[in-house]
Amino acid sequence: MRGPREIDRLSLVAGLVFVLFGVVLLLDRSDTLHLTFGTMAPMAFAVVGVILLVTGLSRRE
Amino acid sequence: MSDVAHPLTGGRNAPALRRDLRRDPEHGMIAGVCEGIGRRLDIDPLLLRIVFGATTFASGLGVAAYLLAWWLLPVEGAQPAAAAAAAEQRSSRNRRAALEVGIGVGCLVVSILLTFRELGLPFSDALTWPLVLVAAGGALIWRQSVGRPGTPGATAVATAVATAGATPGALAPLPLFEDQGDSRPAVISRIGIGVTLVITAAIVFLQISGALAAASDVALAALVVAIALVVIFAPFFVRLLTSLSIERAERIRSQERAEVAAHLHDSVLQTLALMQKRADDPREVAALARRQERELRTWLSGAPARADGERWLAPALQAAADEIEQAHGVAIDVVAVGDAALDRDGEALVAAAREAMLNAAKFAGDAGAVAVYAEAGAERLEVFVRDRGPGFDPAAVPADRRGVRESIVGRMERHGGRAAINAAPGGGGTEVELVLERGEAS
Repeated sequence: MRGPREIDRLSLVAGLVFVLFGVVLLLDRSDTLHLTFGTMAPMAFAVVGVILLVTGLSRRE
Repeated sequence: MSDVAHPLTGGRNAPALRRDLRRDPEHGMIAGVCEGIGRRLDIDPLLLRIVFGATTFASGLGVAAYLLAWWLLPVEGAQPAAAAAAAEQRSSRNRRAALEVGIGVGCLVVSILLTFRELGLPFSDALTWPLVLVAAGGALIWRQSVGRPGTPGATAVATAVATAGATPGALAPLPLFEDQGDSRPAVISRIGIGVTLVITAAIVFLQISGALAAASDVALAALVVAIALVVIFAPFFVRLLTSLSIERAERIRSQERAEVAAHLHDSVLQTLALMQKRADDPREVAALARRQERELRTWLSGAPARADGERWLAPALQAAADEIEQAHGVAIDVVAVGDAALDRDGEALVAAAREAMLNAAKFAGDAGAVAVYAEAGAERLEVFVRDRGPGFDPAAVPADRRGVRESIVGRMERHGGRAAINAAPGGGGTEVELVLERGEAS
């Protein structure tokens, strides 16, 4: 069992990943980046992959 | 955060449980995602529902996020009381973790491949995708055949397939594939998917490279030769498998016999020898016999030793009873229905029960065995300690005698429980009732 002050790794990583994803989408809206399906697809796979990987590793006993 | 008791988590255990983010389908509207997150963050789930709804209409992201959370978050549930349920929960958790890690790694690999493709790096589809398929299929077959570390091995999927139509017991399984606690259909389907992936990879490679058409004649010839070889060698192969199975079964029987003999020698024979030496002390002999009986019953039931260091109610009560029985030579019968992991309050309950057993052994030991009944329910833990002694008047106990007042009643009250002493002088015996609400705030 985690201690009372220990950080929940899953929440932290999932939060950071979504923040990063949001920043990229904002940059796209402000025309700083030009996102296409070719760039979005690997990014989406990476986001889902990282979250699943961290979830699985945190859940494992 | 407030410490409001929740119907599922309960107040006392709530801080520990609330750290784990879970969805609550029982109280939620769809899958309980907003309900679970809201409870975790101590905010109204309605606000989260509005956020999810708004982002759904704005860009569709709300639906994706909700579905992702639905997939990722475990379901809220009551804490399992029994050890078997806990082990099953751990096993299920590990299986799900392995699946998530596998899919996560797969997603990352696909992401890297797509990135290379986008950057224009020279990766040929004729090589890349067959390699990915071979890696995935090979990993599935390899994982099933080698097994995870620490898993017992034995079930042969290949032989299981071969014996599917045979008489049960005619051909025992061979350890070609490891038994990882999965059901047979799951193992067979996993192997089947792996083999299919590898074959698909080979076909894709041959098709893309244009070699499939040229290879068809060769493949047909190879197939005919293979069928002929199978017809010729099948009887020898079956006989070999049968003899290997018989040999393996005999080896297992021999090992089991040796293990039983070793155990009987180390426990029962030693105790019998000790009982012969102490034949002049009936109490000691009875205590030895009872201890040996308990040990043998535990061994026969195959109850596994807990290696995680966690203490549970039934074994803790049994250990306390053994200790007192050994020290005072009074038989103590412990019957436990259900079991529960012990937290600080649970430990206090065991300590109070131990004190009650000790009092019964000291003051009512001559009147026969002490009976201890424990019940671990979802809402409360209860322990009753009964003896057939002379009884006493609890109100007449002097103020300086702290055994009952502090070690039993006071201790239970300090930990959010209660204790009741049902006794009266005159030989009616004494019953100590200890109750600890599992959902009660301490």
